[in-house]
Amino acid sequence: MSANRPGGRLLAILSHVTTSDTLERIVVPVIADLVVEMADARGRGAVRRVWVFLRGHVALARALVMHSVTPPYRQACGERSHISSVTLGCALIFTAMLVAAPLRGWHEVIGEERIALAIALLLPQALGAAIPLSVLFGVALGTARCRRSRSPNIAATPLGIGAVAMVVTLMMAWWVIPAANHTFRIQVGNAVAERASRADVAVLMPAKGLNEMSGKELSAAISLARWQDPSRVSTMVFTRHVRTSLAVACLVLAAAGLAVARLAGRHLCARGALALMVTVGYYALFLVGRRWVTTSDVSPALAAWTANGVLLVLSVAALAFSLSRQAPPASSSTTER
Amino acid sequence: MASKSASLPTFPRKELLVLELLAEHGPMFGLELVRVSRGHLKRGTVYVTLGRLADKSWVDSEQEPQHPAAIGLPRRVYRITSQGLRVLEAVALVRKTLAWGTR
Repeated sequence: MSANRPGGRLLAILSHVTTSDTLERIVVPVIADLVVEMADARGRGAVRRVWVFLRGHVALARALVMHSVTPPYRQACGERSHISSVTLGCALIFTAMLVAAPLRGWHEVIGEERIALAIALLLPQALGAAIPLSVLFGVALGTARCRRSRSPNIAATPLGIGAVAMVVTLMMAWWVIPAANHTFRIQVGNAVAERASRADVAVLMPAKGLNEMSGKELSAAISLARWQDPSRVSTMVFTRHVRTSLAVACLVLAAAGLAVARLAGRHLCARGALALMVTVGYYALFLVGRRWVTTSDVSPALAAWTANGVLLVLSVAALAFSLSRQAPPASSSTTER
Repeated sequence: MASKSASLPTFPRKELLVLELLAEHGPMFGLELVRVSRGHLKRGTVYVTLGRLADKSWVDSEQEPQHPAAIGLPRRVYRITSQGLRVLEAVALVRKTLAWGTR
């Protein structure tokens, strides 16, 4: 299948991560529908096209997740690709949600002609949060009904996924997200200036904030602030640590996903609810750390790594508790289907 | 387990709906099924349901003949099999019997 055909590129990417059965039954039909709907939406405005585009991709992600929890699929492809597929599906869903949420309010501000560019620039920021979350939910939901989900061997695949996600998130947090954030601010500034018919404003370059600085720029800004404005140093050092701690969170959340899977049993709803609680708890700890930095003398490094540390300790404790409670198998028959 | 085996066999609602729509409207694409279902079937789940029905041989499909100049990927047309029709008739009979029994 040529990658130049509409939908050909997406099909080429997914052909590497799904089985031929999934490709034939799910991926090709959903992409074919997406292409038809995109062709129908042509000439009906950019908002309509973006809506059809997002709806089609959410449908694809949903179909992959639904298909991956059906028994024939699990039997056909084994647990490793099963957990990977669920994680990938969760990443697509979370990314679509995180991109769609800001666009709803901003499409009037930035104009329809810039929507495609805005989506491209919002994607890195969305992925920065979606990847760690999808590791947690992918591991928690993907190991459901797996025969070996109570065996210690099952940890290898989630931790491998967590490691890959960590490397990707690290690169995103240090290089891609700051550049995308800065470009996005320029585009929004230009759009607002154009709306106000202020051509002179359009050429101004907005100053970079902490979230727009590359690693080198952030280090230089910290060195400068030590002399000029020491009160800002803690916040800047905290931001630098958060970029790394967010990436390492992928590994911690993979361990948390395993703990959730063991504690919640086979019930998908219970696993989903527990994973949601872990997400809320992690975010609350992150907010507490950020508050420490601004209101007390706590080390910025400690504040940035507290959420990871607490979650890791709790996950290891939950896994240890679960393993100690697990009775040795009496016979060769498994307790899980 | 005993309580499960003692209960009536269940029939997934969406699978039944797909069979009914295919029996009523004839062969259709997945997207057409979504449209005629008036919101009961979703784009993300219709192909999973069709796949399950195909596994049971209640539905079969074939690729649409595509014009060489056509853009996009070829779509599949789904149709109910004779076995699927018999299942639909059996479900209708069970429903009728149960409705009679509860009067």
